[in-house]
Amino acid sequence: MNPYQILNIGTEASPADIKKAYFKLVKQYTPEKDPEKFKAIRHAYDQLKSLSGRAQIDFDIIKEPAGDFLQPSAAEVNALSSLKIGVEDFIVIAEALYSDLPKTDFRDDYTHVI
Amino acid sequence: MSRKKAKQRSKAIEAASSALKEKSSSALATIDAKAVGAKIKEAFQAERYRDALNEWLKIPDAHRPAALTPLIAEAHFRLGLDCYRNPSLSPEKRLNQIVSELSQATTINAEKAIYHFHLGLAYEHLRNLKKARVSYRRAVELDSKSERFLFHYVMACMKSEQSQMAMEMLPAGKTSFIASFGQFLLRMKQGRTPSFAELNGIDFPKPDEGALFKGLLSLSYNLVDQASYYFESSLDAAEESAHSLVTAFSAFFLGKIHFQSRNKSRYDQMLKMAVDNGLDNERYRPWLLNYCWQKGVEAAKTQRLEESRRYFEQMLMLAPEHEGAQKNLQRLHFLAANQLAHTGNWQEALTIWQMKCAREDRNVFHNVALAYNKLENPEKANIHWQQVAEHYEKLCRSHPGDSMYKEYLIVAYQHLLRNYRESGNDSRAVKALQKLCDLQPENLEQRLELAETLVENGRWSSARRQLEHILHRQPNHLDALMVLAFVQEMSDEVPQAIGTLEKVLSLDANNKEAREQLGDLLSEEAHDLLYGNREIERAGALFDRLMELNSDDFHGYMGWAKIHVHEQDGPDAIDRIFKRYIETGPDDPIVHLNVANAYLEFDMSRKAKTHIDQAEEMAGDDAELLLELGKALYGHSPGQSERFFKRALHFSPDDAEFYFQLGSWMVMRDPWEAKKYLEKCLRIDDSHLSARTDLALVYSLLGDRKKAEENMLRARQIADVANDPKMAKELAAMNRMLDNQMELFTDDFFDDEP
Repeated sequence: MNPYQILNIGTEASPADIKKAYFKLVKQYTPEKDPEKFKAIRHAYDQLKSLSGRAQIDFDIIKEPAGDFLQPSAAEVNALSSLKIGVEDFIVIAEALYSDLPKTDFRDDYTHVI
Repeated sequence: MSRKKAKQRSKAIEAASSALKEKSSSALATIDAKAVGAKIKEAFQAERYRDALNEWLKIPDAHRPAALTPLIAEAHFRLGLDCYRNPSLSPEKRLNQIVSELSQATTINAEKAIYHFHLGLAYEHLRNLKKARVSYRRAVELDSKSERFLFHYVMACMKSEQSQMAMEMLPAGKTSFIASFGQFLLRMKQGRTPSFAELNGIDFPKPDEGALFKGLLSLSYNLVDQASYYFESSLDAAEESAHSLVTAFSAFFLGKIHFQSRNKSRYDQMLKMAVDNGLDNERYRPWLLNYCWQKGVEAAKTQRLEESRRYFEQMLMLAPEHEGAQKNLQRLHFLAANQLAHTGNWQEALTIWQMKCAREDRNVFHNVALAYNKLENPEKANIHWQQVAEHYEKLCRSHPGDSMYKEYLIVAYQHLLRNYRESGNDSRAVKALQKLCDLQPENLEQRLELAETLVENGRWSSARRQLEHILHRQPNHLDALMVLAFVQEMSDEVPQAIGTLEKVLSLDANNKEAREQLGDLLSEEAHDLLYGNREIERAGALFDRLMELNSDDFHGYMGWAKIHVHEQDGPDAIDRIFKRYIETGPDDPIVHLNVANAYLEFDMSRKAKTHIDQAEEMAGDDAELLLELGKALYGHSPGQSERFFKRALHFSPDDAEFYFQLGSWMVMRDPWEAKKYLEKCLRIDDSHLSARTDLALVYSLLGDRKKAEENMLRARQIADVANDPKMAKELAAMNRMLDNQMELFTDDFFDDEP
């Protein structure tokens, strides 16, 4: 396990995130309760707390994708909340139900000429 | 030309033209129109419409039978309609061809409403609503009872803001579904929301369709509960009749209502139903995209990566350029590749990172570089580490205050340096080191490493600059001073090198390396003074310093002995100086051996013998000392020398290294003897690399090209040159040396030199 995994944080974690994760874990795994785990957490934190140490670690581990999954903006979502219905909706649905535009097979329309 | 002549010529042309026309007409008349007509019908019935048209074109205009024109128009019509199902054409080409065929059909037979209708459809697909409207209208005029034609005409009028034109064609009163529905839509289009009574008056073909439109009308009056009721009814009816489009629309609008009332689970359920039933309408696309987007992210965050991928792929089917979907999908691929890498499947992970992830992402570069390192391809790894470094360089420039980026940049160059060293790329290694020194000017150890690398590559002046930089900051930097002394020595600045080493010893009197190096330099310089400029006094001073430095170093005493010989001070002076030397180790056979050697050099064999005897007695069964004694006597007493060699070998019969030393020493003295010892060494230890290369040299000296080549090839196998670029380089250099000196090997003998 790499130090990030030990501290249960992503590789893009800020120094504040690292510190927070460390303190949370050492409260959970005290030296009395789980000395081995405490040692591992302490070592992971020591490796990541200095910039140069972290840079060294970062270059030897598989990097996770930066940032997070993109999500629709609040404005985009809000724009969808309107229930307003207009003639365009009637036209769109009427066309979808009754128009020949979406069709591609018109063999039924052949006429008899012989 | 006269007027008369011009008139005559014009008449002649006219006559010729008339004759030609007559001839042509009689030739065409020979085509049997009846037979061609039969062929046309036969082709048409076999659905070979193009063949039918080609046959038709063979008949001259004047002879074409009118009875066949409806069939020809129908052939064009069918060719046009069949184009819709032709996947080999691009959509635009397909539509243009349809328009072309249908236009010909309507020209040949202008009375067929269906031909005009389809021409209208084709124009509408091409977004030419004006032409579409004209064609639909002609179709309605020719067949006023067709609801289908009327519907398309009304819709085209509304879409092109020509509602009045549509109104003119709609029959007054409740005559049909399309007539009443068309009037309903037109009233809406004109800005008036129709009443429920008006909608109730329309006979929809199916009840689910009526419920759907009632739901829509309810929403336009903002009667949300009533709308929900109608949409639910529509859903029930549509599900019963398996009418998926009505199901899709009803579910979608119900979903919208639940979205507004923040009932997420019902919203999700309805949107899923809409999507599953094929709702794909440009107007509602933002909803569908939003739904897939949110569901995709939800799935990804709970590690349902496959499900998430399906949502983002669906988004891209709806909107191929959707940035959010593209980036999220790339991220999913990134995570999938990481999972593979974590299980050790670096090759597959590498393929995904390279093929499916964002090319500009520095973390992708990073993982690709890491994968190439794991796959032991340092050169390709470095291409990507270089890109990582470039990325961080940009970040360092744009964020000068963020020291983390600088740290990353440093480590990137450290990786590059390590890989360049591993792949034996010294010049790149130097560049990486120079970059590291620029990034960390205060790191003197790193600069020293740069200087040492430059020294390894014989770049004395560059190395000197780096050393001066270090010594400017730390004048007493011992390691820098030691390297500087070496650089000075290699630059033929021996006095300066001696001065530098004296400084090292003034700072660290017990520095063994400095003492040895200084001893060598003092000896070299003193000999130069003695034999070059004959500066006896200065040479003597240097020999004194040498003896002061290492009282047991023979070179100083030997130097003084040489001065005495040079100055013809007589044998006593020489004896005195050697006596002083013997006092430093009277029981040391090496001391006696050195003295014996010196006496031999000065042709004082009798005195030499005394010390040889003493050394031999002290050496006992020490094979190495016996070997040295043999070497000492080699040029002076071959019989004695051989005796010592034999004794030495007697005490060390199976020591490959011992035979090698003896053989190696013999190479330039007696190649035949050297061959004997080296071969013996290799019989004991077949993988002795130095013995093998020396044997190659021996064979080259003996003119046996084949054996020399065999031994060099074997040496390359032992050295594993494919995996050891440094050794490959050394052996290639040796090969060149053999090649140049002995003109033995061909130029292309080793063509895999790095």
